[in-house]
Amino acid sequence: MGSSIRRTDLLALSNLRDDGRKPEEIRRMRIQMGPITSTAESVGGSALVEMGLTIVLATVKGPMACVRRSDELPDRAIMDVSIKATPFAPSGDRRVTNPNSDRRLIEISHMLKRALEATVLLHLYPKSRIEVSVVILADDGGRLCASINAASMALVDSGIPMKDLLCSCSAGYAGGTTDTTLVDLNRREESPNGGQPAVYLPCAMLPQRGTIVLSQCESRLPDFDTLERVLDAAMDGCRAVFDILQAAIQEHASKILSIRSGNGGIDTPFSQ
Amino acid sequence: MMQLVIPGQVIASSSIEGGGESKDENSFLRGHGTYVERVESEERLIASVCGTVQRMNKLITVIPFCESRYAGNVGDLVVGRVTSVATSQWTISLVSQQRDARLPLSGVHLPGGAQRVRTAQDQRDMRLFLQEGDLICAEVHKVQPSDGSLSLHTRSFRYSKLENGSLVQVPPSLIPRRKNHYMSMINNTLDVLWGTNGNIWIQRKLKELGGEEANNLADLQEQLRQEHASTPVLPDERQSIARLRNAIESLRLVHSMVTPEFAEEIYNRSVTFGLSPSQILLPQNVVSLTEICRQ
Repeated sequence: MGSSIRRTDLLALSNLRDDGRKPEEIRRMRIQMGPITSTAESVGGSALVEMGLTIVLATVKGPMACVRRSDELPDRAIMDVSIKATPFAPSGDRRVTNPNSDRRLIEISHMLKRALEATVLLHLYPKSRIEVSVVILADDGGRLCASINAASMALVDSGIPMKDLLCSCSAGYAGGTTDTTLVDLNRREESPNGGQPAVYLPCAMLPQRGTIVLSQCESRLPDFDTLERVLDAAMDGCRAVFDILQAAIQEHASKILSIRSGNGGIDTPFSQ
Repeated sequence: MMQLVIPGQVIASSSIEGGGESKDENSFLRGHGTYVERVESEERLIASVCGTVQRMNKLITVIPFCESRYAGNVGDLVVGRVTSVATSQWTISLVSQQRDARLPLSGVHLPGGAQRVRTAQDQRDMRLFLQEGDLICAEVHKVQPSDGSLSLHTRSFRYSKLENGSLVQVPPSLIPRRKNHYMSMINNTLDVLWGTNGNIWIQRKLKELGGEEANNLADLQEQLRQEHASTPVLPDERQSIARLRNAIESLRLVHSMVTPEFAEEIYNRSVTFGLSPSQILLPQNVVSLTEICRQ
């Protein structure tokens, strides 16, 4: 008899989302800085970012020489961005895709590139190349946002100068049933055939100066007010992400300091 | 008190009156790791990297935590590997995943000490001199102002190809600049080259050259080097090279500055504790050995 009320109905009644979050709540984030820079040979930066069930690994190399002379710019560095998805990371509706030619991956790598070019102080390294490679290890929606956050943390880890700490979060609008805007959508919420009317707007901003460097919306919006509302929600999400990123950097820094001063243990993997 | 900043954080701000230079006590000079931005009638100094703030009078710099990049200075001793032989120059990898440096043919000492214009024959014979994969030590000759790439030279008897020894790699930021980067250690039994790019080379001690043969010093050094390269390293020399290598590695593991004094201290302590070279790197030993190197 108990089966007459479904879990989703209960959540809807209590104004919660499918995964039990409040509308303005972001998913749990976990950040690991420098997971693959423990050996001296692979200097550079790296970061592993989890947003809910989406897991993304970013690595940064450079600034180094361009592969082709014709790629060089006389006054600034170029960003070389690639996003790949592992075969076991489910990528939404389509099943198997070639990571080299998946158009959607190429599209989000272009957006990531634009966002990073607006953030990194490229003019400090003329005629050079900074390589950012992102691997999506698990995908539960919001992979562009997770990629941007991971790339931003990897850049911090590598010590490349940036204007601000780039943060990203998405927001959506469940226009059909309620008036509530949702923050940090997961895959079920962002995919149109999941039952939700999707207004999906990923956004990246420089939180300490309050400027938006990326926002994208492919869905049809009823009016300008809606856009404003969704964008505001996304910016609030970005600020929440910023707090988490900042805390992660603090923790990482204090860990290094404590190892240096002898109060912390060493967790570096040993070759033996 | 150490102040930790993240990129984008405002460190200082000063007002600008009438567009002129600010005279108030809040004025600052922009150092590394920061940038300046004008907001209305205010000039803000903002951090661009994550690190700790250092103030020296009005100069404000941010020292990054984990800087892996190496920006060379003229006169630096570097240890690098030849990655390719091109027309009249070698390219040398100093730090992996970073721009390679170049060593022009005119920057090396030709055998026989000849001072002459390099000919096409010299260009053809470049591989006899240095091949891909060879390890060399050199000095930074010039920093290219346009893109920050480095030119090296080896025009001194101290700079040469490195053979028969051990290479340790540490982040470049852990090597402090000092007067002499080429030193004898462990009771003058080992020669150590502290490359400022983070590569450290350890080999057995070569014979000192006296002053009387100073006129053909370079040739003598070359002979000595070839003799060193052709004689095998004895087991106890190997042991002490390995011990010093692991002492340096343990300093890297605790993010401590890698200085000759610290490395020698850890070396001596590991001998006192009766540890074999390989035991130095066990986690508990790293912690106890590096105790003295911590602030």
